[in-house]
Amino acid sequence: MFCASAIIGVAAAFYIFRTSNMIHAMIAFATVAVAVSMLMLILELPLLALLQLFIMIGGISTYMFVGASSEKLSKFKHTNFLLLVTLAFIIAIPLIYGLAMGSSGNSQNLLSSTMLNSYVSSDLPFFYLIAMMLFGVGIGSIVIMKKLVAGK
Amino acid sequence: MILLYFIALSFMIFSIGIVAAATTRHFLLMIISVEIIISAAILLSVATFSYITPGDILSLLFALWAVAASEIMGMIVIYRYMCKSEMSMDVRKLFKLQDW
Repeated sequence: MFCASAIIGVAAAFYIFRTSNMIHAMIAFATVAVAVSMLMLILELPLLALLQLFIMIGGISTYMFVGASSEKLSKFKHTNFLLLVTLAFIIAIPLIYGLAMGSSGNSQNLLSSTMLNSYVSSDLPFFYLIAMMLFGVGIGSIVIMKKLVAGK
Repeated sequence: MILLYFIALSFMIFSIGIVAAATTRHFLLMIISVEIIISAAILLSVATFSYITPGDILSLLFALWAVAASEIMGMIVIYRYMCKSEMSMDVRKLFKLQDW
């Protein structure tokens, strides 16, 4: 189950930049979100998996589908796919080896429980504040664009 | 050992997003690559919290979802405006914004 979800997620992430049709790219992004939701189910977190489906697919992906329907095909070669795959593996391998391998030992690293507790739990109100401010940015951008269009 | 698999997968997806944001020339795909990075961050946070510390992950996840939603809201509006103005999606040609 983990292997299937991982393969689906990574393949869909690569396919986003392989296709020239934006609708297909949006569908591939929604597939990545579904794969992340399946991985949350594997971690026995059904509520978070459901929230992931509601928010990322029901909300964000739907909005992206409506927005991307403006353009049918990307008429230019937007991504060098071979370069993308090569650089992705070049960056991923040191990250995985450096941070992930270190977490299996006894040394104090960024992913240990004490470090995570101290970093995250003290900053929780700031996360809420950041979330509210960003929502304001999103809504404000819609209002400004509507005024710009109306002005033209 | 299974935590290592989740960390490796989230780093793989993260690196795809990073490289795609750096190499792609399409405006909308650059935005989607940021969404991929946020998805990888969500996966990593859920995996580490479920295995290492049983703290409250929901508030952090709501912040991450809010980042993703607000970013895509703003960018899709700009994208629709660019399409309506018949601007090119190639970011190398965005110097034409000065004509707005």
